[in-house]
Amino acid sequence: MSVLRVAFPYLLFASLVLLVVIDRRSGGNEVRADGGAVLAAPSAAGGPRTGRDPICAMDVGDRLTAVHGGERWFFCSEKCRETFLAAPARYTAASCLVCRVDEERRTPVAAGSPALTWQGTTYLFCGPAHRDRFAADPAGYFVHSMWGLPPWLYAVSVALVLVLSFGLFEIVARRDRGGEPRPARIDLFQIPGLRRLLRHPATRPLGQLALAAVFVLIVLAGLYGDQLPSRNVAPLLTWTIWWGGLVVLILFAGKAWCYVCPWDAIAGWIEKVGLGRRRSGLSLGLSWPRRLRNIWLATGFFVFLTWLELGFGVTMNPRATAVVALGMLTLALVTVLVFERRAFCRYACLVGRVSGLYALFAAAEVRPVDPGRCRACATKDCYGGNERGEPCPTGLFPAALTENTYCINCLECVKTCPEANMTVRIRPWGGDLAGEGRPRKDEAYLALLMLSITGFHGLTMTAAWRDAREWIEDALHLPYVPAFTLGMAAIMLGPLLIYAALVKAAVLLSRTREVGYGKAFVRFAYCVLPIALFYHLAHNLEHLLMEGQKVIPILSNPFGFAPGERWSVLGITGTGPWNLFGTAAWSLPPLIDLPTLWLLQVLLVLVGHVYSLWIADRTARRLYPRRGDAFRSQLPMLAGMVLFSIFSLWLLKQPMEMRTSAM
Amino acid sequence: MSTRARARILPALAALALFAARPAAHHILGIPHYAYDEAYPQAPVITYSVAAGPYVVEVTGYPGRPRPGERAEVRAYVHRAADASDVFAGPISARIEKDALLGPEVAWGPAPTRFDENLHKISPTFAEEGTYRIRLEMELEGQPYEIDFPIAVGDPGSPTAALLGWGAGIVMLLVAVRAARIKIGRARARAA
Repeated sequence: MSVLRVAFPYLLFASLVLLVVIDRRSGGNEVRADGGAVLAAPSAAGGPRTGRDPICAMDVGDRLTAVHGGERWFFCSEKCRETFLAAPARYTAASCLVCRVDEERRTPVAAGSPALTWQGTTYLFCGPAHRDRFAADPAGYFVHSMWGLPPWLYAVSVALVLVLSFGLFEIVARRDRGGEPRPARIDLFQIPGLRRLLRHPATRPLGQLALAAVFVLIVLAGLYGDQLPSRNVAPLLTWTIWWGGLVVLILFAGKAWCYVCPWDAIAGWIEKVGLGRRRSGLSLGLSWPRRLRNIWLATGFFVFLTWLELGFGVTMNPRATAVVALGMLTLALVTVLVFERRAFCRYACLVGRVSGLYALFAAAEVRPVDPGRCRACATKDCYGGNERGEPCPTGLFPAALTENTYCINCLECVKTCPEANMTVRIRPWGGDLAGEGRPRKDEAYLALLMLSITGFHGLTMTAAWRDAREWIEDALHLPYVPAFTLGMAAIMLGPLLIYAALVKAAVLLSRTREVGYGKAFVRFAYCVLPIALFYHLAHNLEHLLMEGQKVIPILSNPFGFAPGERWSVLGITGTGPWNLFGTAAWSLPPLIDLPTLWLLQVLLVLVGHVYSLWIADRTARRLYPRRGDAFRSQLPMLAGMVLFSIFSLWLLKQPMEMRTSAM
Repeated sequence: MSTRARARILPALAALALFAARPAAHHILGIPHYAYDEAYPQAPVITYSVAAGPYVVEVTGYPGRPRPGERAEVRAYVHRAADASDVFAGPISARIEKDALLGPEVAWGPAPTRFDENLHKISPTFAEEGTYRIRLEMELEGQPYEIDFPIAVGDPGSPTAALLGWGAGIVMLLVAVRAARIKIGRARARAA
């Protein structure tokens, strides 16, 4: 059973990959009209295998196509195809871009209509007002519509949430004795040569060097490349591949990102060789201020970045993406030059702290093999370092490590341990969350904020958010930025207040005064992490699988230089376009079709829901030793989990205007 | 004058003549400025044309990309689409907004334009490098119109200066940290 728990994440992942592969290989290219007549058998025609859906503007493969006016049209889903076939003329004629995106209607335009040329393409508008609206934020109009979960799938998934919550889960919970989880772990250093590889002094720098090169590419492409997000590699690599892939990486490899993080690497290199001080480094080595020895600063950065990202469209702006990347490097560098060890990683890095909390759930950990040997160790080199490796960069005592949160997986302790007693292990999901842990108020608030922010992130792509923001603008006579800020604050506070009320109810229902409100608030907050994590993954899977494949053509021309364009990067000049790998003209369909994607999203939300319930159950049993108290305290939490999961599913059900980092 | 001397002086005089003639050859007086780009394609003029109801609004700016502190001449020629001689002579209000991180900032105006020789004129001076929008507000046949025209001042698109500035800042930080380290080291040595 314990091996099965360790293997579950990999079995699930393998099933998802298999589903994608089957989806790619399945038939269904032939499209039939309602009467059964074949409209198109696309592959046989030998034409292009991909095209742009005229309804939602998504680039898609040839699984669903139709022929109209002698031309083949491509669709992401039956819904788009049916919409098109009902009135094809509406979609084949040129129409005002602003009407289409902002008002969801088609206004035909003809030659002589107000026009604006942007990024080499001329767009026509129904009038000057719409032309000007486009001119104010052209990149914002290059979004594509994603139809949310179909109503039947939404209804089925909600029913499954309820069944899992009140039926199946209760059976599983009764069988769980509630003790500490059995140490189901597999030591990866049993793999021959792995320990030696990871202890080698060149292994980590090589990984960091590769990521640093990607970082430099993102910065240069963002600053000097074409500012249309569909042509520039910076938004795609940053917000689709990295940010989406990071969640997958955390799930399986914990804080592995920190092992190769380019911000830490470049800052460390500059500190080491800065002004010739190779031996001892240049850092002043001051102590991090006592008042800031928490993660409030990183939480603030996280909220600020979300505000920038969603309020100002950083994800669709290559130059802003580069500036954010450089800003992070500057913060890392200043911190490493002024303070001791890696204070930035431990206290201020928003990526490190967010991934740190998620990593409590991760299926990997760095831990001592035998804690008894560590207790007997006289040198404590894992903390202080030795000639084989550096001191623990985040000031942890690795020998006593019980949680992933602040470990940055640098593996210096693996190098420095004289007893070869530190190792890397894989474990079941939720390993740290199911254990006793060391709950902290700042971490609890960040966990709740992550739930709010992941939800808010999805919400901003829906029409509901646009309506709400416009209502705030009209009702309070506020311009865009204050209205957005107010709306964001309100929506982020919502889950916090709901959670606070649920905890209050849990404390009252438990009928015991042994556990106060504050303690219960902090302890239960960690239970929402799986819901946030798996919704985050479900949402980003859409970006990753629908857009991620476009990295192949874009990497061939990462700056997006147009044919014949004279380019200049840091004084080096030439003429575009580039075709570094010969793939610049490739047109690749998404890695998955929408119906299969919806199934994956529902599956992931359900998995997150079950894990949250399981962790809430264990937390309640730990807080309240009497079974009756624990059971009653769980009821409000159960209601909360159901509410949050149904909200996640509702978000996935909404049609969304997705960014076009690679459209 | 010897042939040799003549051979030396004549090219010099010719060069002087060319040099002296340069401003005259590129003079802009006497030509409607909205025709600069047609008559003198080398002149940096920016032009826009949009339809506003039955009218067409044509805007030209000289120079097309002014430098910070340089006065720009912006002219709007508003006429019926069907008849270019039927000019709109009503009031037009102009405002210039600078694109900023937290939304547009008003950099000039609002102020009424001067109507002169069938043209609505403003002469703003842009203090800072950046991207701006010139907004013209007018009422055409009872219908209000707000029309924006983008204009760039200086070279805000080039990131090299910003990147070099960032690099210089990092070097200054390294120097400051090094100096602080030396100072701390000396203080410790004195104390010991």
